[in-house]
Amino acid sequence: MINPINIGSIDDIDEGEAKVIPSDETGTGEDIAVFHAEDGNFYALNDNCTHETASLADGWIEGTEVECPIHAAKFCLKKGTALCMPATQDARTHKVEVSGNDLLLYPNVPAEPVEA
Amino acid sequence: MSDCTSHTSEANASIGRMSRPEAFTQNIDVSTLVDSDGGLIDRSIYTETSIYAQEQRRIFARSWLFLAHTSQFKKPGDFFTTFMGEDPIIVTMDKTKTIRAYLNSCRHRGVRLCRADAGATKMFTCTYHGWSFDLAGALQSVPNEKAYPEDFDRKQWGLIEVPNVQSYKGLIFGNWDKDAQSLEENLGDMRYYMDAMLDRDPEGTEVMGGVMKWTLEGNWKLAAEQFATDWYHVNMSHASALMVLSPTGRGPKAEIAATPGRQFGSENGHGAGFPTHPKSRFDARPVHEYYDYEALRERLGDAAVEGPMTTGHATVFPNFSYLPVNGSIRVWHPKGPDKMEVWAWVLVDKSMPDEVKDAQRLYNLRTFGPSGIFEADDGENWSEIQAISHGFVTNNVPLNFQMGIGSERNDGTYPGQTSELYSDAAGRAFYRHWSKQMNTPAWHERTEQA
Amino acid sequence: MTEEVVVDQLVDAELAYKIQQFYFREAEMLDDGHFADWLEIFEEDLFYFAPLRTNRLRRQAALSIGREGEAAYFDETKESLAWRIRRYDSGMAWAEDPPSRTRHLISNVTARWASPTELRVRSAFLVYRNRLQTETDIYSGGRTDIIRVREDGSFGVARREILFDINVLMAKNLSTFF
Repeated sequence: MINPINIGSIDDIDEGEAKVIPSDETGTGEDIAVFHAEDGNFYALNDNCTHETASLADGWIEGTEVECPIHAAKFCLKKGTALCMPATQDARTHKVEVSGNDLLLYPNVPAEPVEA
Repeated sequence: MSDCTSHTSEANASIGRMSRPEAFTQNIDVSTLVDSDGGLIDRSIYTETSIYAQEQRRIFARSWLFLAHTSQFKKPGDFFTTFMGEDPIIVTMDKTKTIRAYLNSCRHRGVRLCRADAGATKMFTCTYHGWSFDLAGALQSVPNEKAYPEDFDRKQWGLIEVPNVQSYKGLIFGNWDKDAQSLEENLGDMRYYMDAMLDRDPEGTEVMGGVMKWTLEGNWKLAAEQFATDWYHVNMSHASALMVLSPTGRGPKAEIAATPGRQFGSENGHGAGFPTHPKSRFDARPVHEYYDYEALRERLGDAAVEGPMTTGHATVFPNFSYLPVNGSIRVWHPKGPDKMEVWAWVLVDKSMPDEVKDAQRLYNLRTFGPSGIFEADDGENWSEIQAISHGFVTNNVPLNFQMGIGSERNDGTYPGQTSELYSDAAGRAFYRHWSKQMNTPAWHERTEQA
Repeated sequence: MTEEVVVDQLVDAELAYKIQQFYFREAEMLDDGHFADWLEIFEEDLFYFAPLRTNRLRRQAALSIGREGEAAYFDETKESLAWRIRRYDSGMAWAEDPPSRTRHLISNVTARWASPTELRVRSAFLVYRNRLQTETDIYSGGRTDIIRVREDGSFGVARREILFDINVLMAKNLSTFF
């Protein structure tokens, strides 16, 4: 069982905002972005866009999608699916859990499958 | 208020061994086209394509040009797109809350980078190939960057930045000359006249939403010159509006129509005129009733309240003008020798209650918006000057700017050289400076000394 | 009044015809320069509004039509329209002297009930203006009116929102009405 990382309080990330957990904390070798989506839930993707170098945490959150701030590729926050050009590769998801007021991130554990 | 500072961006416009042939920049000596002492202007300065091109180089590429109002930028990423001369410009607030201005053209193949008039963003991304620039103008992303030569340096390919961006009491100006005299020095005595509009409220001013934009036939100088120097046209051009605004419906009383006043003209080409008759007021009633004139007298001085705070006119050289009476601030963007585009904002004092701001806004757009009862008659004059200017004989007959020749003096009350209200003094000063700048090489013409 | 009015439903053919004729007569009054008569089609509490239209990033498309309280092409009451019209009658309104030739074409009219006594009517206009010798302007746009159906069956426009199909106004002024 992989131990989650406590990444702080749910109040640290406003709805429509995101926070970057740097690679030295995630242990995966990559930065992970944790998003507070407009459905009220928290989701995590690898921070770097799969198209070119860009931080998805800097992107625009609309509903449960994030739009890359540079070339406007969109990803599903729930499944990581690349939704439009210029991205062709899905983003990697990581499981996020809310425990009381705390946000727990499970690096390298894919988000649980959700209904579309 | 946000900071505006000078920047030396690492972006480099002169890459490689590129240079332009001299034939592109043949300059015309305009000294015989402007007789600012005798009050004569040759009509060719409004029509000649070569003079217009020289203005782009020697007037617009080296003067302080109005960009926007500070209240248009609240958060990093807020932006507004405009022009400096014919150059497209993005004005934005960077992450340090500094206002910066860039050429709105992608460094790669030159597409207009930002096509929105205003908004909020995190990056400016070109929709052609995807070169993407951050709020500091740095080139952040180049798709397929690995295919470029090894010496390709993204730092050199950042947005071309306007090196000098400064603000005066809420008004942001930019200058392509990094060694230009500071904005405040350049304004000089003009600041006193501007303060009568910009500094009534300790909290300063703000603009209400939206910029009214319209086009008309007419060289940009016709409008800029009129706002600098021309109270003379009011009683004739605006007769219908004056009649409608007066309580009797028959127009203002004789002493108002023939009001005394002063007109300021600066050696840097700025100009402002204003009546000094205490009843010569045409502001909206709620605005008039809102002001505490005693407090204003203390803040600005009696002369400012009795003069430039009333219904006057003004131009900051070359193409920014304003009307203190209704907070109309506007730019006359040049669009070829025969055409201009007017961009007009509604300026109000920050501390005004909402209903007073609204009265100012309505009065502004009903009098000097594109449907305004004053504006329409001004536009008709300018377009009717331009429409007939190309005839050979017509173009050869000089225009008259002789009213009040020799009347310029320091009157001991108003700063700088002033003349009567009814005078062409500020017009002569405007064209004197125009002519001097047109005949003086600008920063981009200075050759490097080996 | 009509027996059963269903809000948002298109009006019947007879009322639709009357509305159309109402607009055509309005256009005639404007093109004939009968501005004072034209003013009478409006209710006393009129709000006559033509917002600015701006180019926006797709994300901020909601801001592309100016809101009330911002700079606008027109933001008028019946009284402010009246003094605009008085100006034309002063004999010294040079921007319209000699007067422009205009043709107001009104089309695409859809009338729906907004309440038991009010209609929401959308229409399109194309206004051609020819001024002096060769100066020509075309103003294109749409209008959304709230029209009150009075007891006697006559109409009064209580609110008009005009959306010009422009960003920079491609004319030197707006010296006619829409």
